[in-house]
Amino acid sequence: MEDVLLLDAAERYMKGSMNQQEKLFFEELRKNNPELDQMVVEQTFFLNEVEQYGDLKAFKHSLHEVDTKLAEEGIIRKSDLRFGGKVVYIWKKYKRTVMVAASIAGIVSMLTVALASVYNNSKSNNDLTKLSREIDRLKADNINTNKKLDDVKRPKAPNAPFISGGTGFLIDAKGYMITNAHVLKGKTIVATNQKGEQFLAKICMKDENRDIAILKIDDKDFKPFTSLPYSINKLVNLAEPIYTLGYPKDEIVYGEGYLSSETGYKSDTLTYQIAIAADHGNSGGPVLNKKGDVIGILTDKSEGGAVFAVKSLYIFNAVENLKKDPAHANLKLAGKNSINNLDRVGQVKKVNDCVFLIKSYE
Amino acid sequence: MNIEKDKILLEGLAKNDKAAVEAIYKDNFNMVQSFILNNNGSTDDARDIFQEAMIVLYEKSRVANFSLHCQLKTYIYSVCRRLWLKRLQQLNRFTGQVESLEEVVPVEEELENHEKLNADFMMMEQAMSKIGEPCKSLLEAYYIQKKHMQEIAEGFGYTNADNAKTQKYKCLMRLKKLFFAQYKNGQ
Repeated sequence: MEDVLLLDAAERYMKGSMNQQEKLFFEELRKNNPELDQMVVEQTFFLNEVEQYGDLKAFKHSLHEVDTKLAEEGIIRKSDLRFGGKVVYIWKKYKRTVMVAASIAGIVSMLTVALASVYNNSKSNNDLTKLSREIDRLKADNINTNKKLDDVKRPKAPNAPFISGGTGFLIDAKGYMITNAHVLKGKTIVATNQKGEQFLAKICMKDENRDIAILKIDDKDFKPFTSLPYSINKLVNLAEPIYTLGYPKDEIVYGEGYLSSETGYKSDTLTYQIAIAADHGNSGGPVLNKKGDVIGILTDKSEGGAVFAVKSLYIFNAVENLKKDPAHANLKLAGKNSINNLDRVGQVKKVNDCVFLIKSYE
Repeated sequence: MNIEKDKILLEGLAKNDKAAVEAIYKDNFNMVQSFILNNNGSTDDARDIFQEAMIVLYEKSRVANFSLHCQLKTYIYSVCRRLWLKRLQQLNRFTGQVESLEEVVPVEEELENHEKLNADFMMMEQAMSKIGEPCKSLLEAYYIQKKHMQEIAEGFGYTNADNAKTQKYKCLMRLKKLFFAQYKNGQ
């Protein structure tokens, strides 16, 4: 009975419905009695859970009512028809079943034919030989196809040492890539992504003065991206944090630093000076700001150890020039940044896929 | 203007205001439905996913000082997309590419929190279903509908409020025991 009173008191205390005197008395009691104190804490937690439960239940109830009401009024779910609704859904859902059923039907009918010809003695042997020949031919075909598939998977790089290399990154989801001109000394270009998949690429333009080149992946194995995670941005701020991804070795390497000057080597306005850990293979890699926008192309390292990046402005210029060529008129620069809200690790996970190891061969 | 409108809707949502629920439902349901239908789902799936996203939004709207960092529509789409991907993976129906034409914002943290709240809800529901009547109705009347003890005593046919209070106490103790038994198991 005492517990009932205590709990009742605890509840009134929580609700704040005690008068001042009672409240002081109760608080004094709590202070001196750890068990009571514990009980109040536990009770508060529990009643909170009960209340949340009640609220959520009420909310679910409203959801249900609104859903029913809107469906009755035809405001929602009427779009079934627009998408071929049920039929499409049923097809998608039972596609596999239908396929299995179809193949079973196929096998059964072939068996029937075979059996029928066995029973039909007059032509049976002849037909069976034909059938088995047909099967042999199909087998051979199959082996051929497999061989072709194997060929495709075999490395595409020529069997010779590469003469220059670096990094490149996509600027258009269709497979246009940007890199440094000095990365491309040879004619055969192989781009490798971080999964190790290799693609052949061809050079669309090369500007030795600005050390910019645009490549296009020209390989049937390449699946165009739906969109690129970053955009290209011309705005930079002195001292802003930057990072880069590149291939100074066969695996992708992340490096971070800051923008140290808005001009490059001996005040060259073509480039920025940046402070970042980079090596030769980083050439051609993207330099990104903290939002994940590309602000330049990592280019060079001076004797003093300073690193330079070609300004993104020249990416725009190069693209504009290339688009004058009708063959590349549909080139569209990545325009929308979708990694703005991600932390660095999240950004890098997305950008990773768009950065390639570039090797060029004679 | 959109941001203002979203803000008002969310304030309504936090209070379980039907008009707000209906407005958000009207504005967003069809978008989510086309996404689900185009990605191997049914209209029932669309309703389940959308309602779960609404609950996530409701939970978020009730946190003090909360703010959406994007449009309501973007947020709902992102939550639904995440929930649906997860469901597909669970069902092993995941077929590789899921289209994402709309903008997506990260929602992992909220969904983790939502899962925890959902687990609490289920435990309470379980416990409630086990204590039986009239305990369940008694507790709901007092703690959820916030009726007065006197009113409850009359409604349930107790001779006085004190008797009803004693009964309520016993019921609450049972509920607590059941709930915490699961709570400890679950943690």
